Amino acid sequence: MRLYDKRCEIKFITSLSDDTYHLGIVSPEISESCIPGQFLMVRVNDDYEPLLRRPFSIFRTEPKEGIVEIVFEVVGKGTKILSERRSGEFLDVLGPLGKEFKINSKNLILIGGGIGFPPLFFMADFQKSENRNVVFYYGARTKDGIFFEKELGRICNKLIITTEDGSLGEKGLITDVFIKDLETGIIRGEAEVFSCGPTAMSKEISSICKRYNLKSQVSLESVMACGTGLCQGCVVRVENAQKSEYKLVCKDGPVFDSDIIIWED
Amino acid sequence: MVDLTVKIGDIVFKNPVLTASGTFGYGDEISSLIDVNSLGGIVTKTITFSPREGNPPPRITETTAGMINSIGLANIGVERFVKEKAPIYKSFDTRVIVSVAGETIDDYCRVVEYLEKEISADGYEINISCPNTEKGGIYFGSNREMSRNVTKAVRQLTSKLVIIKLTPNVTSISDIAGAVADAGADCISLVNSFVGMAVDVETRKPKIKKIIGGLTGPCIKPIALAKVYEVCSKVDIPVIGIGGISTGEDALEFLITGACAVEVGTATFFDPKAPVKIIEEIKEYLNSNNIKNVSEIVGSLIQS
Repeated sequence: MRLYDKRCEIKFITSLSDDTYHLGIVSPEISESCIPGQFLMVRVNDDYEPLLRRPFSIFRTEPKEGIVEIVFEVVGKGTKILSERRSGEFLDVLGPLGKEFKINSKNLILIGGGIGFPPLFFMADFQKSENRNVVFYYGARTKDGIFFEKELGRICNKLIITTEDGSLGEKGLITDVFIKDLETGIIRGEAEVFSCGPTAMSKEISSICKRYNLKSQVSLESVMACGTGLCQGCVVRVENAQKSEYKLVCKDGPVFDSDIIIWED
Repeated sequence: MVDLTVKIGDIVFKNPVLTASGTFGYGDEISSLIDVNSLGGIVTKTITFSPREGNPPPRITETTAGMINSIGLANIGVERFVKEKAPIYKSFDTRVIVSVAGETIDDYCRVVEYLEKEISADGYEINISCPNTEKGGIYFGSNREMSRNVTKAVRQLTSKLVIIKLTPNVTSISDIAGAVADAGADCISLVNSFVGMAVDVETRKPKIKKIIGGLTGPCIKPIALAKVYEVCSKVDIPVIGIGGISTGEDALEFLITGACAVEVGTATFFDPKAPVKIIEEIKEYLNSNNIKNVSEIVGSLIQS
């Protein structure tokens, strides 16, 4: 797959909540070629502060308009600066990067925790005309952390929202609701699980899937300097066929079969 | 038309801009983004005799105008390097310098011997300055005698270009530079990273697992430049300047100070096209100042 490093116009930037933003960038090349699970490295300004680009999972594309979209939360100085950029301005964008989710089944269970939902939204949207059965679990702390609920409802066969305070959907942790559904037999037949969220959630989903013999892929998050494998900074330990080794989240991932990940505390 | 070529030892580089070791992988990672053949040369990721998986994560953290890394010389080892990576270089129309490290002098020699037998690199950059390994690396580069001995040992094994890469984490870098020059190095490259540290005040944990790592990026440029000045004043062999070079102007500062070439490192992480842009910016500077040959500005610092 070709990689593009271009200066791209900001088509729109809108705030979805106090600290969550939806950004659309004009990049016909990336918009046309990227697939769910892949990410972009975005330079938030032309300065040395912050120095490094920031990685963002792709949320959606509008290939007809040449637009690629991300949804991000302000968590530090890089995302703060990005949230203050305006439409019409330009950003250096590198992508599409990394390995995608690989679909091998007719029944997909997508699990998005908090700001981990974008790559799963992309997946649901990307394959909506494929006649698969898509169940989407979407969890957040409160209803203010749930976005694009209507769109998700349209593109998925079933949307299950969970909030820790019960302000929207089912009350509780997404992992608990998922287990409950597995135990009550709501999920039947062969299904594949795809998840992205906080590490604790991903780890728990991975172990649940192992217990219930479900194949699962997880999109991991890591600090990265380059996004292209040059710096070797973003390693995760995996164990595959008795071989334990480091893999690069940027190049070998960010999507991995979850049963090979060695989760560090 | 300006002449950008520089000669180090017997090797002619088409321009004075190389990629720094550990910041350009093995040379094939981003070849779809930049034309490697437009570069003066590439310095590969450091190769050791046996493969190294590197240090546990987190390995990198951002700092003000810089970053700290503790990769720990993760690499595939010389055997796989020769089999899987070196064949690509045959199609490269640029100079390829292989960066080499070891834990003992014998280790350094084994890698160079293996490479001498198996591939035809243009030269070796002997990394005696990595701050992120338990043994070897910086422990050679911060000791005058050991720096001299490893240089001598490698020199005896090859007639190719031998570049010794120095650490700035020493009391007197010019002292070490003098020792490796006397021991037969063709060239000195400096600086490797400065030891650095960062702490997360919320968790009170170091931001990288190994606590101390190597600081690089624009924040180190003035310190690196002073080290290059110091070494250029002391030794007669060519010097390659490294340290935070991100623009043509940065590179020119090093050239004017006395470096005959530069290596671009961390800049490639945040701007993969940085090395190519730097070449263009040097060219523009020479053109607009009516300078025909880049060598005319090397060491042209006016000190009055």
